[in-house]
Amino acid sequence: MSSDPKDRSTLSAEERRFVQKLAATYAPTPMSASRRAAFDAALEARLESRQRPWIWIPSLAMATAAATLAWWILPLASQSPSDRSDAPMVASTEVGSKSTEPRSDAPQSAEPEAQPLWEEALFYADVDPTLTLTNDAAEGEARALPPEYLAIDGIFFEDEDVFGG
Amino acid sequence: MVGYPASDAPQIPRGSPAASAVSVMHAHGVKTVATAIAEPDVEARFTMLVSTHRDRAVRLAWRLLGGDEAAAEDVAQDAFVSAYLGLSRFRGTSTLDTWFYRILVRKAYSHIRWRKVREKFGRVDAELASDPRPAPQGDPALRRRLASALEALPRTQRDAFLLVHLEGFTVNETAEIMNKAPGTVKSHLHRALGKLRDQFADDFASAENDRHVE
Repeated sequence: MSSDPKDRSTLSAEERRFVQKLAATYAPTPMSASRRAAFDAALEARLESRQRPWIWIPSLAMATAAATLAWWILPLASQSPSDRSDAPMVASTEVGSKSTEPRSDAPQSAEPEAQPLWEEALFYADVDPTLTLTNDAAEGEARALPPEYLAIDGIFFEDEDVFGG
Repeated sequence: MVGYPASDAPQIPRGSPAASAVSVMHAHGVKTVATAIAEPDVEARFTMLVSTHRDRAVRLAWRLLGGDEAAAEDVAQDAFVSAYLGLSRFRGTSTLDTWFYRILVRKAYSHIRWRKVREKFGRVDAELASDPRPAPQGDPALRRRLASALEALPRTQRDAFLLVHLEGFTVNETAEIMNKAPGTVKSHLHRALGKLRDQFADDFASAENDRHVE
Protein backbone atom coordinates (compact mmCIF):
# COMPACT_ATOMS: atom_id res chain seq x y z
CA MET A 1 0.00 0.00 0.00
CA SER A 2 1.12 3.49 -0.78
CA SER A 3 2.30 5.60 2.12
CA ASP A 4 2.48 8.84 0.18
CA PRO A 5 0.41 11.44 2.10
CA LYS A 6 -0.35 13.30 -1.17
CA ASP A 7 -2.09 10.16 -2.37
CA ARG A 8 -4.54 10.26 0.55
CA SER A 9 -7.87 11.98 0.35
CA THR A 10 -7.78 15.29 2.19
CA LEU A 11 -10.49 15.71 4.81
CA SER A 12 -11.21 18.47 7.28
CA ALA A 13 -11.10 17.61 10.98
CA GLU A 14 -14.89 17.54 11.15
CA GLU A 15 -15.15 15.32 8.08
CA ARG A 16 -12.52 12.99 9.51
CA ARG A 17 -14.49 12.62 12.75
CA PHE A 18 -17.64 11.91 10.80
CA VAL A 19 -15.92 9.26 8.70
CA GLN A 20 -14.36 7.64 11.76
CA LYS A 21 -17.72 7.36 13.51
CA LEU A 22 -19.34 6.03 10.39
CA ALA A 23 -16.58 3.43 9.96
CA ALA A 24 -16.93 2.33 13.58
CA THR A 25 -20.71 2.00 13.30
CA TYR A 26 -20.73 0.25 9.94
CA ALA A 27 -18.30 -2.59 10.65
CA PRO A 28 -18.66 -6.32 11.22
CA THR A 29 -17.60 -8.19 14.34
CA PRO A 30 -13.82 -8.72 14.14
CA MET A 31 -12.85 -12.25 13.13
CA SER A 32 -11.93 -14.53 16.00
CA ALA A 33 -9.22 -17.20 15.74
CA SER A 34 -11.83 -19.95 15.41
CA ARG A 35 -13.60 -18.08 12.62
CA ARG A 36 -10.30 -17.62 10.81
CA ALA A 37 -9.61 -21.33 11.11
CA ALA A 38 -13.10 -22.14 9.82
CA PHE A 39 -12.60 -19.70 6.97
CA ASP A 40 -9.28 -21.31 6.03
CA ALA A 41 -10.78 -24.81 6.18
CA ALA A 42 -13.69 -23.79 3.97
CA LEU A 43 -11.32 -22.09 1.54
CA GLU A 44 -9.10 -25.16 1.38
CA ALA A 45 -12.14 -27.37 0.72
CA ARG A 46 -13.18 -25.08 -2.11
CA LEU A 47 -9.73 -25.15 -3.63
CA GLU A 48 -9.61 -28.94 -3.38
CA SER A 49 -12.95 -29.32 -5.11
CA ARG A 50 -11.95 -26.89 -7.87
CA GLN A 51 -8.62 -28.62 -8.39
CA ARG A 52 -9.99 -32.14 -8.66
CA PRO A 53 -12.81 -32.20 -11.18
CA TRP A 54 -11.80 -35.80 -12.04
CA ILE A 55 -13.36 -37.10 -8.82
CA TRP A 56 -16.71 -36.70 -10.57
CA ILE A 57 -15.67 -38.91 -13.50
CA PRO A 58 -16.48 -42.31 -11.85
CA SER A 59 -19.86 -41.03 -10.68
CA LEU A 60 -20.65 -39.63 -14.12
CA ALA A 61 -19.58 -42.89 -15.80
CA MET A 62 -21.79 -44.94 -13.46
CA ALA A 63 -24.74 -42.64 -13.99
CA THR A 64 -24.33 -42.86 -17.78
CA ALA A 65 -24.11 -46.66 -17.64
CA ALA A 66 -27.22 -46.86 -15.44
CA ALA A 67 -29.14 -44.54 -17.77
CA THR A 68 -28.15 -46.62 -20.82
CA LEU A 69 -29.15 -49.84 -19.09
CA ALA A 70 -32.49 -48.36 -18.08
CA TRP A 71 -33.03 -47.17 -21.64
CA TRP A 72 -32.62 -50.76 -22.87
CA ILE A 73 -34.46 -52.57 -20.09
CA LEU A 74 -37.52 -50.39 -19.44
CA PRO A 75 -39.17 -50.71 -22.89
CA LEU A 76 -38.73 -54.52 -22.73
CA ALA A 77 -40.22 -54.70 -19.24
CA SER A 78 -43.25 -52.67 -20.31
CA GLN A 79 -44.01 -55.10 -23.22
CA SER A 80 -46.33 -58.11 -22.67
CA PRO A 81 -44.64 -61.55 -22.99
CA SER A 82 -46.35 -62.16 -26.38
CA ASP A 83 -44.86 -58.88 -27.71
CA ARG A 84 -41.29 -59.79 -26.90
CA SER A 85 -39.05 -60.27 -29.86
CA ASP A 86 -37.86 -63.81 -29.12
CA ALA A 87 -38.58 -67.17 -30.76
CA PRO A 88 -42.13 -67.91 -29.47
CA MET A 89 -43.25 -64.53 -30.73
CA VAL A 90 -42.11 -65.39 -34.27
CA ALA A 91 -43.93 -68.78 -34.13
CA SER A 92 -47.20 -67.25 -32.94
CA THR A 93 -46.96 -64.53 -35.57
CA GLU A 94 -46.62 -67.19 -38.25
CA VAL A 95 -49.63 -69.08 -36.92
CA GLY A 96 -51.60 -65.87 -36.74
CA SER A 97 -50.73 -65.00 -40.30
CA LYS A 98 -51.89 -68.40 -41.55
CA SER A 99 -55.18 -68.33 -39.64
CA THR A 100 -58.04 -66.33 -41.09
CA GLU A 101 -60.05 -66.45 -37.86
CA PRO A 102 -59.65 -63.80 -35.15
CA ARG A 103 -57.27 -64.78 -32.37
CA SER A 104 -58.72 -65.89 -29.08
CA ASP A 105 -57.14 -65.62 -25.63
CA ALA A 106 -56.91 -69.39 -25.32
CA PRO A 107 -53.48 -70.86 -26.03
CA GLN A 108 -53.22 -71.95 -29.59
CA SER A 109 -51.56 -75.06 -30.88
CA ALA A 110 -48.96 -74.82 -33.57
CA GLU A 111 -51.14 -76.73 -36.14
CA PRO A 112 -54.70 -75.58 -36.91
CA GLU A 113 -57.15 -78.45 -36.37
CA ALA A 114 -59.81 -79.39 -38.88
CA GLN A 115 -63.32 -79.12 -37.44
CA PRO A 116 -64.65 -82.75 -37.00
CA LEU A 117 -67.80 -83.51 -38.90
CA TRP A 118 -69.71 -84.84 -35.90
CA GLU A 119 -69.09 -81.65 -33.93
CA GLU A 120 -70.38 -79.59 -36.79
CA ALA A 121 -73.49 -81.75 -36.99
CA LEU A 122 -74.11 -81.50 -33.25
CA PHE A 123 -73.73 -77.75 -33.04
CA TYR A 124 -75.43 -76.69 -36.24
CA ALA A 125 -78.16 -79.39 -36.62
CA ASP A 126 -80.96 -77.13 -35.50
CA VAL A 127 -79.71 -74.30 -37.69
CA ASP A 128 -78.94 -76.10 -40.92
CA PRO A 129 -81.54 -78.75 -41.87
CA THR A 130 -79.23 -80.31 -44.44
CA LEU A 131 -77.01 -81.40 -41.59
CA THR A 132 -79.60 -83.68 -39.93
CA LEU A 133 -78.22 -87.08 -39.20
CA THR A 134 -78.98 -89.58 -41.88
CA ASN A 135 -77.70 -93.09 -41.92
CA ASP A 136 -74.92 -92.14 -44.27
CA ALA A 137 -74.12 -89.17 -42.24
CA ALA A 138 -74.32 -91.28 -39.12
CA GLU A 139 -71.91 -93.76 -40.63
CA GLY A 140 -69.60 -91.03 -41.66
CA GLU A 141 -70.03 -89.53 -38.23
CA ALA A 142 -69.30 -92.85 -36.64
CA ARG A 143 -66.06 -93.03 -38.54
CA ALA A 144 -65.15 -89.64 -37.34
CA LEU A 145 -65.85 -90.42 -33.67
CA PRO A 146 -62.98 -91.34 -31.41
CA PRO A 147 -62.88 -95.02 -30.29
CA GLU A 148 -64.22 -94.33 -26.76
CA TYR A 149 -67.25 -92.53 -28.12
CA LEU A 150 -67.80 -95.27 -30.65
CA ALA A 151 -67.98 -97.81 -27.83
CA ILE A 152 -70.55 -95.74 -25.92
CA ASP A 153 -72.38 -95.06 -29.15
CA GLY A 154 -72.66 -98.80 -29.80
CA ILE A 155 -74.15 -99.47 -26.38
CA PHE A 156 -76.81 -96.79 -26.75
CA PHE A 157 -77.81 -97.83 -30.25
CA GLU A 158 -78.06 -101.43 -29.12
CA ASP A 159 -80.38 -100.26 -26.35
CA GLU A 160 -82.41 -98.28 -28.81
CA ASP A 161 -82.71 -101.31 -31.00
CA VAL A 162 -83.79 -103.37 -28.03
CA PHE A 163 -86.38 -100.91 -26.82
CA GLY A 164 -87.43 -99.79 -30.33
CA GLY A 165 -87.63 -103.33 -31.68
CA MET B 1 -2.41 -21.60 8.42
CA VAL B 2 -3.64 -24.33 6.22
CA GLY B 3 -1.45 -25.83 3.53
CA TYR B 4 -3.02 -24.94 0.20
CA PRO B 5 -2.86 -27.48 -2.61
CA ALA B 6 0.11 -27.05 -4.87
CA SER B 7 -0.83 -26.41 -8.48
CA ASP B 8 1.63 -28.08 -10.77
CA ALA B 9 4.73 -28.74 -8.75
CA PRO B 10 5.69 -32.14 -7.28
CA GLN B 11 2.77 -33.11 -5.04
CA ILE B 12 2.92 -34.63 -1.59
CA PRO B 13 -0.10 -36.93 -1.14
CA ARG B 14 -2.58 -35.55 1.37
CA GLY B 15 -2.87 -37.53 4.59
CA SER B 16 0.61 -38.99 4.15
CA PRO B 17 3.26 -38.60 6.89
CA ALA B 18 5.14 -36.24 4.59
CA ALA B 19 2.10 -33.99 4.24
CA SER B 20 1.63 -33.94 8.03
CA ALA B 21 5.25 -32.98 8.44
CA VAL B 22 4.84 -30.17 5.93
CA SER B 23 1.74 -28.92 7.78
CA VAL B 24 3.61 -28.91 11.09
CA MET B 25 6.53 -27.09 9.51
CA HIS B 26 4.11 -24.57 7.98
CA ALA B 27 2.56 -24.00 11.37
CA HIS B 28 5.97 -23.29 12.90
CA GLY B 29 7.14 -21.21 9.97
CA VAL B 30 9.92 -23.65 9.16
CA LYS B 31 11.07 -23.76 5.57
CA THR B 32 12.74 -26.97 4.49
CA VAL B 33 13.71 -28.47 1.15
CA ALA B 34 10.47 -30.51 1.23
CA THR B 35 8.26 -27.46 1.71
CA ALA B 36 10.23 -25.49 -0.85
CA ILE B 37 9.55 -28.24 -3.41
CA ALA B 38 5.89 -28.58 -2.46
CA GLU B 39 5.33 -24.85 -2.39
CA PRO B 40 6.29 -23.09 -5.60
CA ASP B 41 6.18 -19.34 -6.07
CA VAL B 42 2.43 -19.19 -6.76
CA GLU B 43 1.75 -21.21 -3.64
CA ALA B 44 3.81 -18.95 -1.42
CA ARG B 45 2.26 -15.80 -2.82
CA PHE B 46 -1.23 -17.15 -2.35
CA THR B 47 -0.58 -18.20 1.23
CA MET B 48 0.77 -14.75 1.95
CA LEU B 49 -2.20 -13.11 0.22
CA VAL B 50 -4.71 -15.06 2.33
CA SER B 51 -2.98 -14.53 5.64
CA THR B 52 -2.51 -10.81 4.99
CA HIS B 53 -5.86 -9.93 3.49
CA ARG B 54 -8.35 -12.41 4.95
CA ASP B 55 -9.84 -10.07 7.58
CA ARG B 56 -9.87 -7.02 5.35
CA ALA B 57 -11.43 -8.95 2.47
CA VAL B 58 -14.26 -10.24 4.68
CA ARG B 59 -14.81 -6.76 6.17
CA LEU B 60 -14.93 -5.05 2.75
CA ALA B 61 -17.30 -7.74 1.42
CA TRP B 62 -19.48 -7.27 4.52
CA ARG B 63 -19.69 -3.53 3.84
CA LEU B 64 -20.33 -3.96 0.13
CA LEU B 65 -23.08 -6.51 0.84
CA GLY B 66 -24.87 -4.35 3.38
CA GLY B 67 -23.95 -6.31 6.51
CA ASP B 68 -24.56 -9.90 5.41
CA GLU B 69 -21.82 -11.76 7.28
CA ALA B 70 -22.34 -15.25 5.84
CA ALA B 71 -22.44 -13.86 2.31
CA ALA B 72 -19.34 -11.76 3.03
CA GLU B 73 -17.31 -14.84 3.95
CA ASP B 74 -18.68 -16.70 0.96
CA VAL B 75 -17.75 -13.88 -1.42
CA ALA B 76 -14.30 -13.48 0.13
CA GLN B 77 -13.60 -17.20 -0.28
CA ASP B 78 -14.86 -17.10 -3.83
CA ALA B 79 -12.52 -14.19 -4.55
CA PHE B 80 -9.56 -16.06 -3.02
CA VAL B 81 -10.33 -19.12 -5.14
CA SER B 82 -10.48 -16.99 -8.30
CA ALA B 83 -7.24 -15.30 -7.30
CA TYR B 84 -5.57 -18.69 -6.77
CA LEU B 85 -6.69 -19.95 -10.16
CA GLY B 86 -5.58 -16.75 -11.87
CA LEU B 87 -2.38 -16.14 -9.95
CA SER B 88 -0.18 -17.85 -12.52
CA ARG B 89 -1.58 -15.50 -15.18
CA PHE B 90 -1.12 -12.38 -13.03
CA ARG B 91 1.07 -10.10 -15.16
CA GLY B 92 2.01 -7.62 -12.46
CA THR B 93 0.65 -4.52 -14.22
CA SER B 94 -0.97 -3.60 -10.88
CA THR B 95 -0.02 -4.67 -7.39
CA LEU B 96 -1.22 -8.06 -6.19
CA ASP B 97 -3.37 -6.38 -3.54
CA THR B 98 -5.29 -4.10 -5.88
CA TRP B 99 -5.66 -6.97 -8.36
CA PHE B 100 -7.18 -9.14 -5.63
CA TYR B 101 -9.56 -6.43 -4.37
CA ARG B 102 -10.73 -5.79 -7.92
CA ILE B 103 -11.73 -9.47 -8.04
CA LEU B 104 -13.42 -9.18 -4.66
CA VAL B 105 -15.48 -6.10 -5.61
CA ARG B 106 -16.58 -7.83 -8.82
CA LYS B 107 -17.58 -10.95 -6.89
CA ALA B 108 -19.53 -8.88 -4.37
CA TYR B 109 -21.56 -7.20 -7.11
CA SER B 110 -22.13 -10.52 -8.81
CA HIS B 111 -23.51 -11.81 -5.50
CA ILE B 112 -25.74 -8.73 -5.13
CA ARG B 113 -27.12 -9.26 -8.62
CA TRP B 114 -27.99 -12.89 -7.83
CA ARG B 115 -29.55 -11.88 -4.53
CA LYS B 116 -31.77 -9.39 -6.34
CA VAL B 117 -32.81 -12.08 -8.80
CA ARG B 118 -33.66 -14.43 -5.91
CA GLU B 119 -35.64 -11.70 -4.16
CA LYS B 120 -37.46 -10.88 -7.40
CA PHE B 121 -38.61 -14.45 -7.76
CA GLY B 122 -39.81 -14.62 -4.17
CA ARG B 123 -36.99 -16.59 -2.62
CA VAL B 124 -36.39 -15.20 0.86
CA ASP B 125 -32.73 -15.03 1.76
CA ALA B 126 -32.69 -17.49 4.65
CA GLU B 127 -28.94 -17.13 5.17
CA LEU B 128 -29.33 -13.62 6.53
CA ALA B 129 -32.27 -14.52 8.75
CA SER B 130 -30.63 -17.59 10.32
CA ASP B 131 -27.04 -16.40 10.64
CA PRO B 132 -25.71 -17.84 13.92
CA ARG B 133 -22.81 -15.36 14.14
CA PRO B 134 -22.99 -12.68 16.84
CA ALA B 135 -24.37 -9.33 15.66
CA PRO B 136 -21.86 -6.46 15.48
CA GLN B 137 -21.64 -3.97 18.32
CA GLY B 138 -23.52 -0.68 18.12
CA ASP B 139 -26.94 0.53 17.11
CA PRO B 140 -28.49 -2.00 14.70
CA ALA B 141 -31.10 0.51 13.48
CA LEU B 142 -28.45 3.07 12.61
CA ARG B 143 -26.40 0.36 10.91
CA ARG B 144 -29.39 -0.62 8.78
CA ARG B 145 -29.99 3.01 7.84
CA LEU B 146 -26.33 3.37 6.89
CA ALA B 147 -26.54 0.26 4.75
CA SER B 148 -29.64 1.63 3.01
CA ALA B 149 -28.01 5.01 2.45
CA LEU B 150 -24.87 3.41 1.00
CA GLU B 151 -26.99 1.18 -1.21
CA ALA B 152 -28.85 4.24 -2.48
CA LEU B 153 -25.59 5.84 -3.63
CA PRO B 154 -24.42 5.30 -7.22
CA ARG B 155 -22.08 2.33 -7.36
CA THR B 156 -18.96 4.34 -8.18
CA GLN B 157 -19.58 6.74 -5.27
CA ARG B 158 -20.24 3.87 -2.89
CA ASP B 159 -17.12 1.95 -3.95
CA ALA B 160 -14.93 5.03 -3.70
CA PHE B 161 -16.27 5.92 -0.26
CA LEU B 162 -15.97 2.40 1.14
CA LEU B 163 -12.50 1.76 -0.27
CA VAL B 164 -10.92 5.10 0.67
CA HIS B 165 -12.70 6.28 3.80
CA LEU B 166 -13.72 3.01 5.45
CA GLU B 167 -11.02 0.58 4.27
CA GLY B 168 -8.11 2.99 4.11
CA PHE B 169 -7.01 2.46 0.51
CA THR B 170 -5.31 5.41 -1.13
CA VAL B 171 -6.96 7.28 -3.98
CA ASN B 172 -4.49 5.76 -6.47
CA GLU B 173 -5.10 2.23 -5.19
CA THR B 174 -8.85 2.80 -5.33
CA ALA B 175 -8.48 4.15 -8.87
CA GLU B 176 -6.70 0.91 -9.80
CA ILE B 177 -9.32 -1.26 -8.14
CA MET B 178 -12.18 0.65 -9.75
CA ASN B 179 -10.35 1.04 -13.06
CA LYS B 180 -10.95 4.83 -13.00
CA ALA B 181 -8.75 7.90 -13.03
CA PRO B 182 -7.67 9.21 -9.59
CA GLY B 183 -9.42 12.52 -10.30
CA THR B 184 -12.70 10.70 -10.95
CA VAL B 185 -12.31 8.81 -7.68
CA LYS B 186 -11.79 12.08 -5.76
CA SER B 187 -14.90 13.54 -7.36
CA HIS B 188 -16.96 10.49 -6.38
CA LEU B 189 -15.58 10.66 -2.85
CA HIS B 190 -16.56 14.29 -2.46
CA ARG B 191 -20.13 13.67 -3.64
CA ALA B 192 -20.60 10.52 -1.53
CA LEU B 193 -19.31 12.22 1.60
CA GLY B 194 -21.60 15.22 1.04
CA LYS B 195 -24.70 13.00 0.68
CA LEU B 196 -23.89 10.90 3.74
CA ARG B 197 -23.15 13.92 5.91
CA ASP B 198 -26.50 15.41 4.94
CA GLN B 199 -28.25 12.27 6.14
CA PHE B 200 -26.22 11.28 9.20
CA ALA B 201 -24.57 14.44 10.59
CA ASP B 202 -27.31 14.77 13.20
CA ASP B 203 -27.05 11.11 14.28
CA PHE B 204 -23.32 11.30 14.89
CA ALA B 205 -23.55 14.76 16.46
CA SER B 206 -26.20 13.51 18.93
CA ALA B 207 -24.04 10.48 19.72
CA GLU B 208 -21.14 12.83 20.46
CA ASN B 209 -23.39 15.01 22.68
CA ASP B 210 -24.61 11.91 24.59
CA ARG B 211 -21.03 10.87 25.25
CA HIS B 212 -20.22 14.39 26.58
CA VAL B 213 -23.26 14.29 28.89
CA GLU B 214 -22.19 10.89 30.30
